[in-house]
Amino acid sequence: MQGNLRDMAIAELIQLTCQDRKTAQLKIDHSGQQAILYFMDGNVAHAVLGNQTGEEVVYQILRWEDGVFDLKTGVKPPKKTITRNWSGILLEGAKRLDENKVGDDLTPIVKNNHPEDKGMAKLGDMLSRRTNFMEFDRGDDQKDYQKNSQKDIQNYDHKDNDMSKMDDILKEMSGEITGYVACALVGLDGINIASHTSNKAADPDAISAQLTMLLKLVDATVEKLGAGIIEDNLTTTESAYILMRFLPGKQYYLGMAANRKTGNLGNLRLISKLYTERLAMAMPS
Amino acid sequence: MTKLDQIIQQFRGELGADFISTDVVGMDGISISGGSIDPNFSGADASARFSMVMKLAAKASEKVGMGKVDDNLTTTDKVYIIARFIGDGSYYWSVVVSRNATLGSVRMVINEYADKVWEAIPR
Repeated sequence: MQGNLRDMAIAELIQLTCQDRKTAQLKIDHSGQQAILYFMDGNVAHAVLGNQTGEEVVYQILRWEDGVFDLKTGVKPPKKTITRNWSGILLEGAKRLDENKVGDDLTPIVKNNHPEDKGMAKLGDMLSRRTNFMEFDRGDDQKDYQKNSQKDIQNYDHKDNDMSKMDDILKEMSGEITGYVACALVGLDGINIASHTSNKAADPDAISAQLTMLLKLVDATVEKLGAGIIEDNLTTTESAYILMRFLPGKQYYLGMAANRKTGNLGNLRLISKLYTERLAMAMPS
Repeated sequence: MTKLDQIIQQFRGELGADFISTDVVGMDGISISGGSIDPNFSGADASARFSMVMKLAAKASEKVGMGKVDDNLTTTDKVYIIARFIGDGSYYWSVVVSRNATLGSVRMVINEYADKVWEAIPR
């Protein structure tokens, strides 16, 4: 399959290839540069641009709005340099598009103020402007499929409400925390809804039970002192940073632990802010 | 004015307009030095309540194998509340600053003064 990026955005190509669970090679030529993406069983496995390889290549080329592409199915990747799933890559790409203010045609597709919304709107806009592409050679099923895919990505935050997604979100989050040790989504009864740890010896249930008591005491203390509404609580120990942040509604909180020596406090607080919002949206109503 | 009070005064000066309250508190919950610029903020209440927080934090950290607690930072929509164990852990030092404060700088100043505060506690 060959085409032009003005007719089909790179984000859309990734989405369609991955949703079809294809193994393929995607060559993209843009302003004298050639990027090659490899897909394996519905995920981006490898990306090359000049001397660069890996995930960063994908984020870089997501900005390309013109150029030509050539998608060949059945071509296996020569190696694997990317482990994040495709939807995570597109979300991160959306964030970066937003942060870099690439493009000036952001469409307010998503109604709330989620930090990924503008970038996601940008991706959604790319998709909506290009839905006619290839409809001439696709059957009705394919057209419906493509429209549904478009709706899926535009309404990602509303549809991502499957409980099994919580584990995926925590797993994805773990990859973004410097010095990561463990994380959990916990109810105020101290019971984990989802958890993830890099330390197999750790007992996430016991940790959450202890930390919930602490967070509840801090919350009650802050309230009685009239010191405002608690946002988060960070305990620094000799070996770890332990951060707890309430989800909106204060019925659940996100607990995260990072290594004191290798962790970065700013990174931990930033990631906690971003992911509590995402987890809140993914919670079943 | 005791040496401890002098150090606390000096510390308050370093935080400037962002300072709200500070207390050096024994683990019995009683403050031995400190003060607040906000008449509505009860240092005695805060000292007593945060001593419970610090005790529970220490206990929880020990139980989950995270080691000794150095400090606890609570962020609300109005303030940062930092409570830090000093010396051998028989006292903690609480500092409340507005959300306008630069958190990294406040932590740095607290680090700088922690030993001085501990040494100035009368024994």
